[in-house]
Amino acid sequence: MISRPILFNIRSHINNKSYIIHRNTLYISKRINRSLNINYGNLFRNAVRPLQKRGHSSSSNPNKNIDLSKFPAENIRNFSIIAHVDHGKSTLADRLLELTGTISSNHLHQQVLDKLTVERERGITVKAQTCSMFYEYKNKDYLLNLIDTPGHVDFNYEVSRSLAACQGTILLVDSSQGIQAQTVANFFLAFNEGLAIIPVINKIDLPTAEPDRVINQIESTFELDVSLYVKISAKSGIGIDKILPAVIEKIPPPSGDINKPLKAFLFDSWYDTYVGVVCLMAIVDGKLQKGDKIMSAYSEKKYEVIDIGIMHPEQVITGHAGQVGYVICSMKVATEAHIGDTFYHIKNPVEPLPGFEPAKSMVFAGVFPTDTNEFSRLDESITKLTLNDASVSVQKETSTALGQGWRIGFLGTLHMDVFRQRLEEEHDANIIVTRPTVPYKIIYRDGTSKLIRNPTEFPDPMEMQNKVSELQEPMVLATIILPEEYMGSVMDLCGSRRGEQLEYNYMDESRVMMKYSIPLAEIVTDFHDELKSKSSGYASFDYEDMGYQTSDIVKMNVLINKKPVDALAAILHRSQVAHVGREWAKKLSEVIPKQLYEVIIQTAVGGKVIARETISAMRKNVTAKCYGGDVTRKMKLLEKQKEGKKKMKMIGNIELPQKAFYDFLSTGSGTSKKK
Amino acid sequence: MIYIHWPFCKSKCTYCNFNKYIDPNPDHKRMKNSLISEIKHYVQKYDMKGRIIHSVYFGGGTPSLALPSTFEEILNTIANEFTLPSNAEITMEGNPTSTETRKLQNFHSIGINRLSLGLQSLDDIELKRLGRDHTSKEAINAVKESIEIFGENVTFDLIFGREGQTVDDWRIELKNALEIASNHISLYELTIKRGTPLYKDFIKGKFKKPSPDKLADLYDITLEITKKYGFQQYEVSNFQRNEKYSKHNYGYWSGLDYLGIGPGAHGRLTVPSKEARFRTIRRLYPEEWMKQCEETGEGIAKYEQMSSADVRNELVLFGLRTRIGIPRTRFRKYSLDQELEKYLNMEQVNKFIEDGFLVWENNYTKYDKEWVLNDFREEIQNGVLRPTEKGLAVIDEIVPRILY
Ligand SMILES: Nc1nc2c(ncn2[C@@H]2O[C@H](COP(=O)(O)OP(=O)(O)O)[C@@H](O)[C@H]2O)c(=O)[nH]1
Ligand SMILES: C[S@@+](CC[C@H](N)C(=O)[O-])C[C@H]1O[C@@H](n2cnc3c(N)ncnc32)[C@H](O)[C@@H]1O
Ligand code: SF4
Ligand SMILES: [Mg+2]
Repeated sequence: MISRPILFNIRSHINNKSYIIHRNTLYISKRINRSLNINYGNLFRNAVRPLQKRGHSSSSNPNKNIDLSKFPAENIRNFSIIAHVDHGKSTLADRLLELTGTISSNHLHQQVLDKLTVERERGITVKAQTCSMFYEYKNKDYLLNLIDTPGHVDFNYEVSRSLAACQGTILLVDSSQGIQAQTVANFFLAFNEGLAIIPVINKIDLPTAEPDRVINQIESTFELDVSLYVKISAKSGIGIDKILPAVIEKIPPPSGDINKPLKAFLFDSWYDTYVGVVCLMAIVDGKLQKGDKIMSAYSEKKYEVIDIGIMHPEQVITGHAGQVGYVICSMKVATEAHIGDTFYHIKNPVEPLPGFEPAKSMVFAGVFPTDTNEFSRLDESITKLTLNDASVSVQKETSTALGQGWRIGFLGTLHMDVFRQRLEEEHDANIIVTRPTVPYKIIYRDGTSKLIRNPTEFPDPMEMQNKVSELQEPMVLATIILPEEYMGSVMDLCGSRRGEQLEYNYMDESRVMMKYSIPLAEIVTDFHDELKSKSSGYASFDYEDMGYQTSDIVKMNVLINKKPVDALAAILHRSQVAHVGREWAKKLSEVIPKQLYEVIIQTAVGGKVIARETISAMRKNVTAKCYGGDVTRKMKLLEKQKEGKKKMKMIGNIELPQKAFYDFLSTGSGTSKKK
Repeated sequence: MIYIHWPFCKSKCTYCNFNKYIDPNPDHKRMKNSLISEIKHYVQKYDMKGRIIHSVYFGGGTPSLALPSTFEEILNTIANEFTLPSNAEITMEGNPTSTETRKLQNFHSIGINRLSLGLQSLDDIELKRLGRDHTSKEAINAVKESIEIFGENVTFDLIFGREGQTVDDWRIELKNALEIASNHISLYELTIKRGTPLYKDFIKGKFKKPSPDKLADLYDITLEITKKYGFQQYEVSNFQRNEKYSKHNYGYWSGLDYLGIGPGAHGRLTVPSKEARFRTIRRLYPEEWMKQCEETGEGIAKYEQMSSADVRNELVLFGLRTRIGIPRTRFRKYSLDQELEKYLNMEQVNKFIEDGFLVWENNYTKYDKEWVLNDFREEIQNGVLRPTEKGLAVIDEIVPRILY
């Protein structure tokens, strides 16, 4: 099985960025890559032939074949673990899988779980933390489904859908770190889904552990009943045995009815090279079998079920109400699997589950090949990558400055960075990525509205005057948790990013939780990095969608010798124009090489010039002497120069090498790439 | 045209990457025999017996360190094998040390009629920094003596764009040089060549190149002052008065054939039987080269056919480095009758014409001393594409843009 080098590349790439990103990058890589780590080759074979039991397993479940009909809903628990990054979610999940014998507790396997024999036998990764476990408690056999949740704000919607497939969750908190921003965000998502929440305090083996302080934080922040918390060390195994009893006692079983018509809830999906689209579904009501014909409530597309099963190495078939597992049906591309969608038997429509939204891109960027001849090759690469990732939206785009390319929508900037990196590294792409734009909303006088994803779609002055009633920008509710001493500087930062403080609370004597309303546009740039540097790395940050707000936004053009360069235009808040305009003109004057003609760089809003820089014309470039051996060298150089000139983008008389765009766009003018 | 390379020098100049070796006692006899055998070999191989040779050039290295008798025998060989008219230009490069100056009369008497001296600078401190083994006084004296011997056919080289050189420094130095000059001078901007001690200093930051603006200032003042002294810039770095341009060098630029003889020498020749042009390159190291000459008659290392694009690009590249530019007739002659306009990207050419970098002279009528040389009046009758003064200064930017 291949483990992807990209994982490491990404880690080093965003190395000293916030740890949120670091962890989430891993998550996304896993999410996008996991199909590659799985061998589905014998999936079908296994479905008809009982598997042999593994010799080294310490399984508490001696059955070779598990009869799922022995597990009525009251013997099932669907739960998840929510935690801030690095608080120990993966470690705890591994411990639970070992405890239930789902995977071997052979310690050699701990960091290489992807390569477990069970995966090879069953063809499904058990490591992907959505998986099923069998557990005997008080003489009763339980089927416990641990449902994985993504770990980054970019995937907030998916987190909420994963949680919607559960009845309860473990709120895992590091006992030396205490509550962090993601703990809070995840808590509220779970709370809003009405889940039972079990506080678990992890890493009590650490000398710096302060479990009691953390319990107080949980109590005061979440007003949660903490009488039933569990203190554990996922690493050393302390207290692990108390978790599953708590899960069984505290979390209610799913309430589905096996006799009702089928209602299945799709909460995760991925694309696999061998078997195609794999969906994870929770069977809310009814029964699902191989060969069933089902329909999507959202798209009303019909599918035939090719295979179903639970995420467990042992042989199990058919899905009853309450169960959670994979469904492989005749879906061609991952974009057909809409997270949050409901499925039913073709002739038996049911009321879909609430909360469904089609995937919503929050960050858009133009992507262009550095070499225009690469367009069709890269088009294929992009198609391939999006097969794996339904949340990316792609549209063709043509720029006068950069030629043919794509406008790609992402869930967030991390998502964008990972996509870009994969394109560059796995598909050998040389690309220019424009400054990301959030979707702005234009409200027209006639009451209609339109989302714009590209500065070129910004209404021109005529349209503004005659038709537009207002412009709106997307806002987020940001949660920032930090030690008190950094409050001042972080408040300054948020203020400078047009943030508006909504509330702040002391979680205990020294930790503060602040809530801000901030324009999304302000955090898709380098907000994370800034926050980390302003707080010596101690602040944690998370955010959620907060809808649209009226805003005084304008389009800033970059003009080169009076001609606007479409790929460099930006939508900005009026208050930023002066600063950004000056900075951009300056930076461009540094990356554009001297030309035969004077270059005038201007940034402007409407007809008003914000900043101007000039690059004087080149005065001299001529080789002094050229004899003998110089001649052949000179001729070779000439060939190279000729090639180079062909790749130049012309803006009037002025040649812009792709490199200038690249340097400009990748040295911090808006993308969240490192500085 | 024949180029003969003498690869030995007495001292090593910091900026120089020519094929040269510091050897105070080279084997003159073996060198002579090898050079002669290469000439003879050529004549035989390409059936050139009796061809007219308009120019012979002894370059280096420091050919003025060779024995006059060596060159005498070579010239005799050339005269015997080819036809060497009495008005042929026979140039030798020389260094202006007093010992070499003493030998100039001898060189003249064996038939050399043009002398090119490497002065480089008239400032003793600069000369030291450049690694030269002569003083400015010796140099000035050498120029004077040479003029006495070679008359109008004396030229010398200066290098500008040295570290810390100001416009005023250069103005004075150049004026002093032009005061003593005959009717030709070469003025090169210092080029930092890979593999030289200067290059290493540059990489280490010990040598600092003047800024691009400073270099442009120095170039501008060079044009201004030479003009005042009545010189015409007929090529990027070459200036003449009284039509005393270097026929040999002009031959390179205008597409003529030339034989390259001696270690590391380059040549270009048309082989009529094959209807093709070839580049020839000789072995670099004198010892290896001599050995091969002794064994096979010639020290060839590479012999390669030039593609038609190579031939044409070379005509454009070198033509546009001269003020006359590329005569249509010449281009047609060397490129199987292709028209210059058909070969170039005319959209670009026209843009550069509009913006004052190039000029298309269609029907040449009047003599314009700013760019015409008498000898070429006929060749330019059918029109030329030439650079303006402004265009020449940036011709390295223009050439790649007008070629497809
Ligand atoms: N000392 C200690 N370290 C732990 C414990 N649980 C997890 N860790 C470590 O914390 C780090 C993050 O754990 P991981 O499970 O990857 O966290 P996740 O990001 O929430 O999935 C790893 O280095 C674990 O070894 C624990 O109980 N005690
Ligand atoms: C190769 S030298 C040979 C002549 C003779 N050995 C001498 O040094 O004068 C020919 C001329 O090329 C010029 N030259 C050589 N290297 C140069 C460089 N790196 N930059 C500028 N001019 C250079 C010098 O002016 C020199 O006189
Ligand atoms: S510049 Fe002339 S003298 Fe100096 S090393 Fe080069 S060839 Fe020899
Ligand atoms: Mg993890």
